[in-house]
Amino acid sequence: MAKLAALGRWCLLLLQTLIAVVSPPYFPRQIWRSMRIVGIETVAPVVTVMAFMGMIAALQGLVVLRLFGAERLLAGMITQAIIRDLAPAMTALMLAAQVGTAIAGEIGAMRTSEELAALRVLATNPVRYLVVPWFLALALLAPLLTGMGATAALGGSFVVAVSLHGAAMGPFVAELVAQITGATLWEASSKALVFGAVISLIACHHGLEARTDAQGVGRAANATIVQGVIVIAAVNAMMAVVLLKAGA
Amino acid sequence: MKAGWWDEAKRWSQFLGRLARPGGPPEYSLLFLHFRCICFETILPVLLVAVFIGATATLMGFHAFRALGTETLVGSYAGLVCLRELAPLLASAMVAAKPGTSLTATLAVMRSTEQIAALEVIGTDPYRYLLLPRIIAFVMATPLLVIFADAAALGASFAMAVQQLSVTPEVFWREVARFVAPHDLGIGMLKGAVFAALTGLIATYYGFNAQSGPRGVSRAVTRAMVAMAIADVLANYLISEAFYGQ
Repeated sequence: MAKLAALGRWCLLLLQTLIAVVSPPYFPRQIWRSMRIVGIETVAPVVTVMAFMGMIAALQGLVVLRLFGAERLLAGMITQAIIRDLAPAMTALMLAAQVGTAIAGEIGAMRTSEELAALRVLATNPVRYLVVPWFLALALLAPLLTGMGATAALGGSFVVAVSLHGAAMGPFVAELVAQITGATLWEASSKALVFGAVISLIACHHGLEARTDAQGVGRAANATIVQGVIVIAAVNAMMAVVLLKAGA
Repeated sequence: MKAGWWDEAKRWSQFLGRLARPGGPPEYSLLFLHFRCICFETILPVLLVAVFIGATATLMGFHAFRALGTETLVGSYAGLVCLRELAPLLASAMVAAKPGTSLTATLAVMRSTEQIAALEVIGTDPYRYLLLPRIIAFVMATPLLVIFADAAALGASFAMAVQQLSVTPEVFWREVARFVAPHDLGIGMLKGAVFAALTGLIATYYGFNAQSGPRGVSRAVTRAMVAMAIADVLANYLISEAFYGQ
């Protein structure tokens, strides 16, 4: 029952945030700060992790396709996998790890030192002042970061397939470029946008409800990453089915 | 706050050296306690995520192979991808996310409330009493969770292929059996153990060296989670390259 109540409060937060997004007042300085943190701090982890994911995709793809003597299909297969699934999901995971836990910790710490109460005393709505900036920053920048991650992953897969394992370079690049179509890019960015929005709300929800001591802050960060991983996997599976039905 | 690379490396080597200092065997009761905690609190999320990932991977593989008119191969594709890569990675990701960050937070809170200092005062070595049993428990628990993740991902893949994509069960299992070898399971468990060792070390390092106060705790959790994710994918690539790369 407690979990259901938490889900209900999460939905209320979603509703409040959506209303606050389309109506003034806005806090441009807060939005700019959130965007700077999301944009700058996550680039390095996202690019590193995605480069290795691309390398592993190329390695296993090559091993499997060699069994059928169909190596030239490698680039097409892994480009599809990277752009449509790996890049949005892994970028979202890294966003949850880097920004999500930080948001939960920050808001939790603000709650501990009664800064949220102070905001209310100043007649500032915490949802508008704290949640909306993170929501906008994560939702808008997640597609961009996914793009960077996908580029890094394709670079990593190129290094492994062509430089280390001797796939032919020309067909590899040609197949790779042929797979980058409007439809795949649209799919990737819509997924990334949803993931970013969901992560920001999970993190803010846990921060706003954190218990007011050091332990509560740690637990809020922990709960954020756990729920983030589960929700990303679930939403990814659902969106794969939905987008497939829509496309077919 | 801004520690250079050199300071960080120095602290890491001190930390590892202190952990490796010989002593008696770790307390088995503590070891078992942490092992049980890790298994019980992680098994459900692992199964849940494995089901989703197995289904998604199958769907993707099916469409990649349909372009070639060989969609019956989806069984071998899903088997290889899930057992070799996805199941070990996702089990370790969940171990890092749940007991891993929880361990970091616990140690960071113990640091802020000076419980670690108190342990030292009463002459208990925090490295042996707090850190070592947990790290060993991680290494013991994760291979077990990898097996569960294997089963759940393959089960979901089977359900997806048979229910949604109309592959017959016989064809699915034949294709799985054709390319998946028992040693894939073993390598998956080995990966789980390596990732778990990295997770345990990173989680305890950041928790143990956290700054006090709520912000210190949250910063420790964030840094630990990012470091664990990067270490896991790096180790994953190296192990796969070593075993499958020829």
